[in-house]
Amino acid sequence: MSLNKFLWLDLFSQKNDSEITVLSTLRSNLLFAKLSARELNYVSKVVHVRTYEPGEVIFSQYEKGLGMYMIAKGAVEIKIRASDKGESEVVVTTLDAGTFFGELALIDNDNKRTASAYALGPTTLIGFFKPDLLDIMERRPQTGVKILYQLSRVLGRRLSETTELISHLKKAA
Amino acid sequence: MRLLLKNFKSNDGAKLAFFFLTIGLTGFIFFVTPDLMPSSLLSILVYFIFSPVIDGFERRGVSRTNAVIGFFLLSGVALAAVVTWGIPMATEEFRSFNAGSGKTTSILYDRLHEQEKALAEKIPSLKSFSITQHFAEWISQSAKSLWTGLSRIFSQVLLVSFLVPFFSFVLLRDGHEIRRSLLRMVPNRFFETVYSLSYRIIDKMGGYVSARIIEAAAVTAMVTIGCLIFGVPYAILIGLFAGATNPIPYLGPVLGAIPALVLALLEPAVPNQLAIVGMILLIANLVDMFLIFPFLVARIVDLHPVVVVVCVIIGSKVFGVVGMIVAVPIASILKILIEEFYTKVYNQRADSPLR
Repeated sequence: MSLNKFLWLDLFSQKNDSEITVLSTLRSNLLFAKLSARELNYVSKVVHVRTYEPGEVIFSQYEKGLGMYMIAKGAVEIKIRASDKGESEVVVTTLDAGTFFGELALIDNDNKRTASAYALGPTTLIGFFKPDLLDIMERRPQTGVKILYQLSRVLGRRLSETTELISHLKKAA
Repeated sequence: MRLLLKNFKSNDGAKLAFFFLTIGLTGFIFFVTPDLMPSSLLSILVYFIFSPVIDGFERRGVSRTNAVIGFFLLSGVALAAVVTWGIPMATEEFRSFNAGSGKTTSILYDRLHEQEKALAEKIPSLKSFSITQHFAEWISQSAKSLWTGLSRIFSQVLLVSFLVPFFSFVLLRDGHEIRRSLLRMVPNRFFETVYSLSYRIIDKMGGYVSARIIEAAAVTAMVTIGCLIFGVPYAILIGLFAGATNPIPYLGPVLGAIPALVLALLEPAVPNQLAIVGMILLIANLVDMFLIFPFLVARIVDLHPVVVVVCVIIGSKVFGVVGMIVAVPIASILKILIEEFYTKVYNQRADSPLR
């Protein structure tokens, strides 16, 4: 155990497990696909490992968002409120380990969550937030540029998917 | 708040308890050993000032540990240079000022005595009250208390000179990791809010401290250079004092001007010294007031001038001069907290489907 790890020991997360999970989760994520092993190691020290109990809220719809989450273990249910007059929520999708959500909050200043996210079972998420991205851009601009490029690709792809869906719905109507 | 507490888990309770226990324990340590407080505050100040420098090294591919070690080595060299060349210059000025201070006090004593005599002739009831004697007693008392407090000051300086480099090293190297470790204790439900708040507060404080340091350095440079150009004696001391008192809002420029004006009034070394020194201080403070403060400090603090004045008054009433210095950054932090709380409550109400 290095001196740093001994001094700032994490008393709540399962250390050995999470160390391996963080690196492998980051490596398999599209956002960090272009990073070298050294850069990935650096990012793994910036992100936040969070553990959730079954049914626990990750974030709620309309809440101000700060960043994205990658699913390292478990699954996440995305729900939206069916109507403005009731509290009932409708499941939009279920996300499994390896996927990520909430990435729009990384670049949008006044981002409000468009849906709620709940842990389905015991779930481990890796949070990557706007301050982390800004910190990387400040301290390791080359790594920051690579992440930003991949992020713009992801957002572009999401936009084209949404446009396609809208055109499809228009045609169906 | 109802929504926030709805999904509160038992694990969250343990985390929150540990979080507050850590804060409480830190508070207890400072309460038991108050001598640690100046070193800790100075180390935080050092962290805010030099963290961007370390980040700059990191940007150029140097590892953070090497950057911090390199920075401390460079600081050591710079300190050695200051000790070698700067200290003798300042010591010479201080020695000369110290030697002259007896003469200055005696001039001041004589002038006061003359004025008192003239005043007593006009108002006979003042004959029983000797201002000069009170002044002499005050000077003697101040000198005595300074002498008796010297040993305590010396031990405090020793402690600070040992602890500040140590604490600063840890903060500069592991600051991010310490913050991450503290954030791990925050329950999931409050994590994003606490992270966002801590980031905004640290960012604002970093900017504020840097801006005030730049402001004080600019005032020091302007006053010192101005005095050197016109051949005013004790230029470095006058400049340093003007810069050191500058962070005290409103009162700072007045306090900083007193030694320079008293010296110019009682012991002028160059013709029209009072007018020259007055003009230099006026120009330096005008540049500070209309250029440096609005474009650098006010933009970072983002507070209305009336709020700043009220905060400084409250700060001075509660904690004196220290309160005046910390009033503005504390008000700035409170503004961030209130904004966050207001946005949270307002958003919950505006978006609630039950409205």
